[in-house]
Amino acid sequence: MQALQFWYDHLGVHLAPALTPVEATGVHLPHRTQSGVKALRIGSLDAFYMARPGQSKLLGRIDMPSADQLEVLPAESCSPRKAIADWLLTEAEPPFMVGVITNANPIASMCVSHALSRSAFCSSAGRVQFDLGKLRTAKRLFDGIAWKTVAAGIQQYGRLCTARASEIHIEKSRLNSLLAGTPALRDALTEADIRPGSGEYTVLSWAHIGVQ
Amino acid sequence: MAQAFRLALQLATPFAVDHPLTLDGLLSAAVFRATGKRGRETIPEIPLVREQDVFHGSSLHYSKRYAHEPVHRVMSLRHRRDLSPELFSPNRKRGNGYLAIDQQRGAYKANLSSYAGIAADEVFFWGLGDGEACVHLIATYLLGIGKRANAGAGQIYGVHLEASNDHSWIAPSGRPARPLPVELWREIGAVDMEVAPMTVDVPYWSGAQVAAVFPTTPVV
Repeated sequence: MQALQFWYDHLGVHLAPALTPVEATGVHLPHRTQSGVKALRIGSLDAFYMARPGQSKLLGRIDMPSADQLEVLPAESCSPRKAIADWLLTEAEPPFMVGVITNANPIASMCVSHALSRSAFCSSAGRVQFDLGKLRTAKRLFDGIAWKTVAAGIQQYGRLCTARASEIHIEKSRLNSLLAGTPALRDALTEADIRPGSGEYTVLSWAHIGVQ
Repeated sequence: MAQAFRLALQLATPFAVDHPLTLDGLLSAAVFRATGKRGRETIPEIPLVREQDVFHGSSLHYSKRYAHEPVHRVMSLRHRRDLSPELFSPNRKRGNGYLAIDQQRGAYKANLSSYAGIAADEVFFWGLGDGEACVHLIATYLLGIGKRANAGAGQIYGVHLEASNDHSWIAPSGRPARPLPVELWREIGAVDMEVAPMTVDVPYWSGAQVAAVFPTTPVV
């Protein structure tokens, strides 16, 4: 309930000041749909949020003006996941909450990120947990290298880390050939230690949506 | 007699945990299965040294040889013949009718749950206390660790004990080996760490949260 109260105090109250926190997670708001503006329950069309004391953002097809402490951004012109990843990498400071409200009840998945190393993206489809400090270090280390190359490197590095003794030399030679053109990536991969499938990898890939 | 130890668990399947799983939390679950006691009732039965209301049992750690693998669970509903209203008494609040049973998505409606998991051959804890009793409790009463352990996630197939230095509170790196109240950490610790509200004592699912330091990574 602490997480729900945090969400309400810094975001929900700007959407539905007359409702309780639980009711506010199901408030009806005007949405831009293909057939015009309609009042729909929040989450009928994915509503992404970044909640932080005094500086919250809501990304979706919600047709309402920004308020003093709540910025409402259109999801049509940008990728909400990329916007959240960029916000995490540059601005987010604990405590904060990021996530998405979908058709399912969002309350059970809500959690506050109180520390950089225990940050989470809240989604009823599955929480994405990550170490934001590690993520920012990785972003700095991979800066200037094409994401396509970095992603391939992370995948191969992951295979090398879990390879059986008899397969290590094969995986190592594959990594060497992959890194032949970008030797700087070798040290970056080891230092960042980002593994495929991790929360850090997921958020990093969001930050590179639309980037080659 | 209390001794410092390192307790390793061999795992057959990936496990899913979203908090620093501690040895005392795991042993509390084993005590529940052994005796039926729950939560704080299990504290006297946990064979670890306890000081200042915190057990000498570290969080779960593992080596760099791990991979992220999702833990899937499929919940299948039963065939319509098993759900026939003839098998049920009238259960509508008013009248003698029956509540509707949702079968719109077919007789074998299945729900898939997926959890972010870790595949590691071995995970380990540091502890201070009766190591043999810990091994007995885990090996006898626990199928696995983490979420959905009863459905096969984090399945334990081996428990090994070895003597070690006491790292139940402070890991060899000098960082906290488990969630510890920040006041306690300032008494014993040397490095400044991030602080977050966390539960530091059994029962972890409902205990009061206090400002605590915690292991920032389980990887050793």
